[in-house]
Amino acid sequence: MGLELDRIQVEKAFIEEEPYYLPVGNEVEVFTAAYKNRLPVMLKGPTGCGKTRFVQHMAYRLGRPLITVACHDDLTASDLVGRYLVRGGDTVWVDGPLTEAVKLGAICYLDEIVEARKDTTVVIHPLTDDRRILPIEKLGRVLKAPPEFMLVISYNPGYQSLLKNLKHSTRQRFVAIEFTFPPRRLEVEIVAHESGVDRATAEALVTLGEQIRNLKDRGLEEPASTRLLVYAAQLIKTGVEPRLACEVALCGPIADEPEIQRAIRELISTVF
Amino acid sequence: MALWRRLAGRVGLAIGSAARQIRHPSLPLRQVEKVLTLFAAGFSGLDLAIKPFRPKPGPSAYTDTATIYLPEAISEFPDQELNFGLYKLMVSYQCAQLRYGTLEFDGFFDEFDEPELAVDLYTILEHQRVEARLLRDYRGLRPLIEACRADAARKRPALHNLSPKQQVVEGLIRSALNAEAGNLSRTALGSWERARRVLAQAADPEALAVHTQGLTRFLYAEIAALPGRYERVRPVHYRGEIRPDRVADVKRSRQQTVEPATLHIAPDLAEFEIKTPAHRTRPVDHLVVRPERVLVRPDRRERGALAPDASEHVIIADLTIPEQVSPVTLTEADRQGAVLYPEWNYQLQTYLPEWCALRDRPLPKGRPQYVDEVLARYHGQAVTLRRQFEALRQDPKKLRRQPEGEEIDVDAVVEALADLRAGLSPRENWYATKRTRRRDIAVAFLVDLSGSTGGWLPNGRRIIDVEKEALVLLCEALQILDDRYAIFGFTSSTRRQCDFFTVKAFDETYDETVKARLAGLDTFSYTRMGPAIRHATRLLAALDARVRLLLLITDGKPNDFDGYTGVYAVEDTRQALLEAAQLQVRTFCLTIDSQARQYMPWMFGEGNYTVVDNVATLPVRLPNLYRALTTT
Repeated sequence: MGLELDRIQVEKAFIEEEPYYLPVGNEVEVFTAAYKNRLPVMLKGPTGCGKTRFVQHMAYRLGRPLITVACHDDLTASDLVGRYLVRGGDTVWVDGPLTEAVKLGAICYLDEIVEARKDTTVVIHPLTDDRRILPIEKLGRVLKAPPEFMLVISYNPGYQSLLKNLKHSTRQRFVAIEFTFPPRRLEVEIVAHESGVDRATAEALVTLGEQIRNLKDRGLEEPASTRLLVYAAQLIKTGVEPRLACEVALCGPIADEPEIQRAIRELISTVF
Repeated sequence: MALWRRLAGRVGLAIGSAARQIRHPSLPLRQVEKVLTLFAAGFSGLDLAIKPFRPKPGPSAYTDTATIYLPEAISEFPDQELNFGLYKLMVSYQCAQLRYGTLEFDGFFDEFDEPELAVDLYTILEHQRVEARLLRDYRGLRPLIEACRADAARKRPALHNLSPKQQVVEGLIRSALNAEAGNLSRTALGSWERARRVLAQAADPEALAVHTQGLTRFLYAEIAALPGRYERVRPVHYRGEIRPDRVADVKRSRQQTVEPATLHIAPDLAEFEIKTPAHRTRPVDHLVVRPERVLVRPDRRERGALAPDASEHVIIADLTIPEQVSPVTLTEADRQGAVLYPEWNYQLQTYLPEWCALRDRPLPKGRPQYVDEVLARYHGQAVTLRRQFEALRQDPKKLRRQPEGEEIDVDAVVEALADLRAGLSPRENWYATKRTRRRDIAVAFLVDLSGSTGGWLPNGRRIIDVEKEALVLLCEALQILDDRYAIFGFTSSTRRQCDFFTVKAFDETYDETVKARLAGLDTFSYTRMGPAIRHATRLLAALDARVRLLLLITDGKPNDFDGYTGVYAVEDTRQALLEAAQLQVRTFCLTIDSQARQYMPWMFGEGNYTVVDNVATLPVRLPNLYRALTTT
């Protein structure tokens, strides 16, 4: 019975410890201002550049619980809003994560929104304008979102699929904060902090990251993300030989073509 | 045998230079060129080509700042891995020179009486600095540098035939390679000892190229005073050489580059034609030349000369004046056999009805073996593309919550039961069905065949040639999917003559006829995008498909020589695209115009276009773009 709900990967929590986040620009101020003005926010940027971490950090700062939904192509409107379940001889209404977030006054984070079925995105529309309501058809009720409720979506424009682009009617309801990979100095700090490797290793990894990113548009669609650099650093920290760590974290995940792979390996063996 | 080998080895070492005679397996550049190009791009962040050259007397490398020149083959080591390593180190070195400012020496060598000596000294000192920095920043290079340094040291020429000046320089190189200087003549010895101290100063990773220039002046004064003329000594293979003349050539050519790269010839010169080296005459009103430069000296009497200076990047073209363009009115003859399309006049904010006459034109047939040749050339990429497109072909997928189907969707039934109990009327979508969700995509590729696509690329090929190869790979990949697709070409010479070519119609199969037409594609005249887009839209809109996509492939702005330029042309094209959107036809543009970011967002809409900076990658980019656009 609980299957369907588990599948949506609901993470709900007040965040107890401050998640590490290093601001790159004025994203913290913008997000805070959007929260105060009850505006929904769209986080745009490539995968692995810190969008999810940023939301966690902001939820902690604003002292709100965070409910994250990883969207996928089977995600239906009832998965978000809720449904009746049969329990014993009775039927029980179970709130979906979105309903729960509205009731809790939480930050609801819909990760990779384009992955969700198109009809799903429509249920968020009335929550994103000044009405801030969530109609629950099956209950015949309309929930009014408290001022603390905030809707955040993430969106990776790199996909460029015409079949799965965010509709303009959806996009134009959000304040957009753009994310890119952090500048060198900050990225070194992030990699060192997240993994515990020494500064020299972090510097070398970031150098390598920059070099691999230079290959974007030469057959590499999504370049080495900060997250992957952190992965490589973590592997190195636990004693994996650096070249091997880089190969499994920075070459395998992003490149399939043998020539690109070879070029990345050569870059790795230059830096390490 | 083993003993003989060992002996031979020892003899080889003993007589020094004779060791070079031993033949090792040879690694040809073309085998590793692509990896090295990617490596150079990654390592330097610059767009560098790699080309072969024939260094004398031994292997060497240099860069003119646009291209890295490497030996055609390397056979210094018995181990191919090390031969590749030498290539890689050469590339790293040349990239490092570019990154660390080595080649920023504007006129520095002019101040010396013996510039060859100054260049050699600067090279030795500067390479010490570069190497110190490489060793500091890229510890992975250390073993490679050590192996190549030792190999280079073994292969230095003997001292006794050299002049005193050469002896000092040669001794300095040996010191740089951590080798014994050998028996220097008494004249050279003192200078060499002083020079060695300068060498140590040069190897400072924190220093800059200007510091090296100072050291060069100092050293030059010391060595130039020795007797005899200076002749250049052999470069160290992995470090390569510095060629100020080639660097200056490229620098000069960059300064002459007209910015922006799209050169608009003034309106009164707009009636020029361009004569390509293939001796085909095409009218153009602008030349798209990138990343090269163009100097226009249009000679209105005879022929204009476009540009040429010595570099291979230059597009060489002659300008000739075509016959007078008559004022345009659509006569009966113009309308004969044509489909008429309106045009949007943004100044009047109205459509000009029946303004453009568009005709279907047959394409000349090209060589039948063309397609196979292209596939052979791009064999590796074609295999990859095929595999990637296989992945798009969706496996039968369970479609849940269907009104009918062969299986019961338990989730849906449970939900419906729960709804029933709760007194709601459930939705009757209790079934699941296994069916390949059809992509159901219809796509038209609309290729700009205007004269500018006849422009020459640095690799000596025309844009249209690369576009054709891209289409071949695309067709090959599309064979795997059941998407309906068509390929059209278009060109224009005023609104009276908008030509539309069908390479492949939607209902045609990709057969020999289509391949021959593909091979026959060539460049024509102008780019009136409006009528071509309207026509392709009409063809697409007539199809029944879930997604209908019009993908335009172009190299520049819309343009025709009867006033269809600038804002007017952009606005009409934009209007044609809006019409397409109304008919549920999605539009996307792939352009190779580096200036496209200035007008594409307005014309096609943000996110509905992509700029391919490196045209050579187009054959792989186009199919990949299509794949990305239609991934479900």
